[in-house]
Amino acid sequence: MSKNIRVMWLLNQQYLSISEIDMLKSVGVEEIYIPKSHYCDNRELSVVVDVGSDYELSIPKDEIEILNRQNWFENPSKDAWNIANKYFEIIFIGFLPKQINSTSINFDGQIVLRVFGLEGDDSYSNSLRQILKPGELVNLFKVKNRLWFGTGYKCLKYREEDFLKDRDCYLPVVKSLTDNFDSWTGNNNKIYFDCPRILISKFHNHQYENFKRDFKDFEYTIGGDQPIKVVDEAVIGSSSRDDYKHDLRDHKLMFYYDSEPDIFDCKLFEAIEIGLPLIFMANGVLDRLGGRVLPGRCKSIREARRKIQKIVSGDKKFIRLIRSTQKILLQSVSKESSLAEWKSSFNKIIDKVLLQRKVQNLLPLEYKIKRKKIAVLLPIEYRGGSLRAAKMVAEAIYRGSALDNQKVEVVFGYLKGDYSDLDFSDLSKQIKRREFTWKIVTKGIAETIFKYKNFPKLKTKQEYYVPDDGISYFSDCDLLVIISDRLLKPLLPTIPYVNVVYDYLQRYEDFLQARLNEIFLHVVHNAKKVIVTTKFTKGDAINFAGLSEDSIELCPHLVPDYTNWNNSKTDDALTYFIWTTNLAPHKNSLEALRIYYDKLGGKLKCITTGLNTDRMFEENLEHLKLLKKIVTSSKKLKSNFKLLGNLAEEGFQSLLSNSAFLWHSARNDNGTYSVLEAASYGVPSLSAKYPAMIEINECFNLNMMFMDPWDPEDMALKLKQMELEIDSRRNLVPSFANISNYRKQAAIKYWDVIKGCL
Amino acid sequence: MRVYGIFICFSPSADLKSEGLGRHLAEFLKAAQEIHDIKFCIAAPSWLRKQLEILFQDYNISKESFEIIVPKYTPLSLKVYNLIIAFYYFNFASFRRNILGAYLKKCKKLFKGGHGDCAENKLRKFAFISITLLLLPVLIPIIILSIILVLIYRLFNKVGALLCQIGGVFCQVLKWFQIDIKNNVITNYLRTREFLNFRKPKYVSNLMRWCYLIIQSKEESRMVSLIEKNKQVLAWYCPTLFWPGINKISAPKLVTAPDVVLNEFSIDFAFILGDIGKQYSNFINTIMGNKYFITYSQNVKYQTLVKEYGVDPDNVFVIHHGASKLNQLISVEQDSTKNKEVLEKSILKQLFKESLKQTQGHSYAEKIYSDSDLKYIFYASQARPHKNILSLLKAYGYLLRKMYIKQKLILTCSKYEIREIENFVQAHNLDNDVLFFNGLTSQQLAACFKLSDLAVNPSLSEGGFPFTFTEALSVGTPIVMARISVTEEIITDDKVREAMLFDPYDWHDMADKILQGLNYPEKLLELQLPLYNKLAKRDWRCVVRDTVNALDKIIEAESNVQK
Repeated sequence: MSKNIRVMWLLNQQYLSISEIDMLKSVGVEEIYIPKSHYCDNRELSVVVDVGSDYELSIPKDEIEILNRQNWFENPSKDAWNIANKYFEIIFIGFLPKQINSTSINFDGQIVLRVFGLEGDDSYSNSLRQILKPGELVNLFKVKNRLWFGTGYKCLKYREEDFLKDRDCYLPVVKSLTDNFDSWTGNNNKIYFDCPRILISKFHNHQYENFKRDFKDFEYTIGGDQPIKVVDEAVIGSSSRDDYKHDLRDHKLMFYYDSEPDIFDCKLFEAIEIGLPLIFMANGVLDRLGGRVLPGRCKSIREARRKIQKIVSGDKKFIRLIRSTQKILLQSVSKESSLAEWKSSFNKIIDKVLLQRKVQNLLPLEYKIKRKKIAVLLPIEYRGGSLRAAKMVAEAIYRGSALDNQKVEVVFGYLKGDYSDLDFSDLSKQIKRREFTWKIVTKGIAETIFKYKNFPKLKTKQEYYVPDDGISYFSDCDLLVIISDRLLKPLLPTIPYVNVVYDYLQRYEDFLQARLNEIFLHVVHNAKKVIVTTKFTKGDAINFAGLSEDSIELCPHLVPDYTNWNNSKTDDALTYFIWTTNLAPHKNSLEALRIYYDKLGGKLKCITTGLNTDRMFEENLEHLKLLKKIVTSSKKLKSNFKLLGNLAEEGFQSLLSNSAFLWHSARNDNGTYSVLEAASYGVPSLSAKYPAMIEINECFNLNMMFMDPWDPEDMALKLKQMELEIDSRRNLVPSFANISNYRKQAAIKYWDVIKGCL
Repeated sequence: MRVYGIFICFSPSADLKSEGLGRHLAEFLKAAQEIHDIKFCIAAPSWLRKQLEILFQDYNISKESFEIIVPKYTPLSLKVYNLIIAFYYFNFASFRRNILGAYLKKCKKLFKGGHGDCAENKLRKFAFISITLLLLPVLIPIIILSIILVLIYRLFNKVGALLCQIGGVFCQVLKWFQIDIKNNVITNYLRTREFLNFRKPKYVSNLMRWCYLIIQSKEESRMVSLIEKNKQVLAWYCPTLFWPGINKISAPKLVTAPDVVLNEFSIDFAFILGDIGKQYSNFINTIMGNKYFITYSQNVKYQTLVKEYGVDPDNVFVIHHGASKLNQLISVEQDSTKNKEVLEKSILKQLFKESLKQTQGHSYAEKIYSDSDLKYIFYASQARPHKNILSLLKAYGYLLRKMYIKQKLILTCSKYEIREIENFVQAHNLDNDVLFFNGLTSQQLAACFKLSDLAVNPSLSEGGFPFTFTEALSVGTPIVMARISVTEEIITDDKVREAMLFDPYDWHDMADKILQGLNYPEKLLELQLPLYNKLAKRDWRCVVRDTVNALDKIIEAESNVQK
């Protein structure tokens, strides 16, 4: 080896670790890192922690410590991956979805996906499609030239598709010899049957039931780790390593079904090494390893029972015959027989490592560092708050990256519609705009796209969306940030994307068709990350959308820069309060106003603004008819109630800055920025009490007064209270001098999330 | 003398003169014949024998300078294939209208007394009837056979459509009963639909394409067996990735990888081309089956071959294009006439008039513009997704309607190849200002470049530095281009970059640069000429020399490996 190659061996199998590390050293690898944190799922139970190996690593201690703190089986930190990329060129990983995804995204070296066969007829090619999300699968396909299908058994590649078959790297399973060689005593006249995870694995449960049925009249012990206790005296459950070895030495024989044609249990070889007589069924993998001629081989359960009977009854000649011949099986997994194969396969990987080193040296700088491009997409022809929010996300990403000295290009994509240049006049010039439409990709086209991308077949049954910008479908972008989850079809997983979800209103209000809701939930499940802006929405994202916590990022509310806003006093200052609303049902609010004027003698006028609110009593909707009825029923309300409709920015600012307070009566949405705008003019707010508004209040220390939106009496009382306490309330409004620092921190947070997805 | 081989395998229907690669080959061979210490041997399929001869004649290439290895006979399978293709493209309506129509018209004229009843006319009638009767034994079987073939053809289509419908209904029924439809049922159904789609407008059906690829593969094998017998060739050169037959040659081989736009713009191509099946696999197999490559740019070397396909960078040779100059096609010799400028102008006008005839979808363009001194912006390119024509149309629409420029936009691509282009032009009422001169000759192209106010190239991706730069500058027209890797690779001067490069993903930027170019063409030209003069020195002999050097290097590398 021309230069020391370091390997990360990130598997969690105790039986393998010793032999594999031995083999790696035999093929010339001197420095190997083994993870220190454990991982357990219902398939991987064996655990290895070997701090000793760290001493052989020639990398700084503090960096080793960072590596040791990670859970390498899920999502290690970005820092840890940076260290991994700095010092290691080969990584061995298991068949674990999070580990595969994290490695394919973050590791720049050669990736060996170490596999030892699957139960049943399933292939890894198919299983990958099942365990990984479409976007994760694409991440794996993208590293195909650095991916090695590290098969433990030669036959494994034959059932795979080309994308894995072509990357086959046969590294045979090896059993290292221990000091237990031929230490069998056989004092316990029982059969030893290894059958772990009986109540977790269907496969082992089936074997357990079969064994009990086939050998019920024999005495037996069933070994293997049992995370869930099995109520059966014969099942001894988890035992220490020493106890386990003792059991193998002590039992009369071991029975093995050998039902899988491609895989075998490494523990079997430990038993053979100890000298425990092995009775096994024919036509399994042991036949291929030289077991076809062994006396312990049985073609039927009847034959197995007969042979077991012979051993149990102490047929010494037969026992000696079995023990002396079965050692042939050890040869097939011995270091000597596998070393040549290991060397030849590992050399293929080393060749690629050396090529990668060469490329790193030769690659011109412009090809090493590519300026990243991020597109922020507004998927629906939104206006008002949503459009403003989308623009602010684009600005935050751009600003955050600039603060991090990693200037990226940000593109703002908006759906083709009735927008004018004025709608984007507040967007920085550095952020380029791009109009797009959604285009449907049929199943056939999706497969063709995958083919042209050199990806394996998607095997999809559904249609997808792609944003058609008339140029290249945003394929020049490295990441799409989609404002909201409102996509009518899943996005084609060729470009990774992040969703910004502001609320799950459909959980609380019945307005969304179940079919659409299902699609929206699927959309966020395929996203790389989902950004939410309130803890409340985060809770919904977990409990309603079913997202895992680590896929959600809580980012701050983005707020506009209020510092340059117009603030001139008018004659009617403080004689009214302002109600920002829309044409949704507001029965309680109008009822509250009626009480405020009729019962509580409210003196302030109520000025209403918001999209189409000037037509509140003209629209022919049932709930609006009801509102009209309420207003006309009260003379005082009618005379104090004024509808202004949608106002231009400047008009709204002037109206707001001169108002006594702002009234916000909506509920269950993502909160409103109006209270922040009001506060920037020193105008207090009275808001409905719901989680998003509580969070906004806490975040900006707004000292808002809250009311119960379900109780018109309370709403009216609070309106009156605001009227009476107007001066003291105004004094409680915080200064917004520090808003620019808040905006800066928010931009950094948004960029951090986006950077993690690039 | 050292002998090198060139492996080519154009399809039987390819017209080498009109194919970019064919012209590239011609320029290469023309330059190669002038280098006397080397010799090239060309291996080609049997069907290209005639085409090569024509190419040699057109480009004034001496046939004797090259050895040509071609299988002796055209395979029978190809003859059958050609017959099917001819039948496939046979225009029954036109046959009925033109041939039969003319015959019946003649009959009518003769027998309805159009010529009077003189002796001469009687003789004519007699001769006409006799010839018709004599031809009948031949004509009747042909007509019957044609009718049968037409019926089979239509039946085939009907059966195909019926099968699709049955398949569709079957799948639907299974869905209704919530039966898990196995993947293979769906794929078979789709395959049937694709396979029997004989009426695909632009492309030969998948079935025919599949047949051709089998024939191509067989022919490649015949070529390879001849190549293997020829021991004097030291190494082989293949100018494209679409001919995987090169993989089978045992001598050292060098393959050109022009670009991999199909991969880069996969969504666009999937929508426009659909699945081109084995053709794409051929492409991938050629990359995977070879060790040494030529690219036209560092970008394709590093971004595509090294990064995407893991090729060793030492095994990739970057050989830039030779300058493509058009001035010699339209310049008048100094001594041939006293009034050089007038003559040159008149020739250009004549060529432009001829170009106007090529205008697509604009029947009166030739009539109304042939005598006017049109001002226009020019983009010479085919219609491909990565050519970024829609962005150019957006920028042009903006310049025309908001900035009031007077120029038209002339494109050389087909208006109809990409539906979005046609739709955009119509939807934005640009029919009168965007003209499509499709199928220009080299001379017409030169004239169009010369007469334009500004050339533009908004392409999102190219394998090498676009020819349009030297083509435009060679006739004194300034050009603005997209800021992409291959342009930045060659244009390194910041001032020149700033003046002529724009972000191809931002049509506003494109419009700004076009406007700047139109307003200050002399300034732009002045900045661009030093670079042009530098690039113009690189002729095709340099390209041949570089290729031969690369071939020598791989011969040496391979002999070292064998040792």
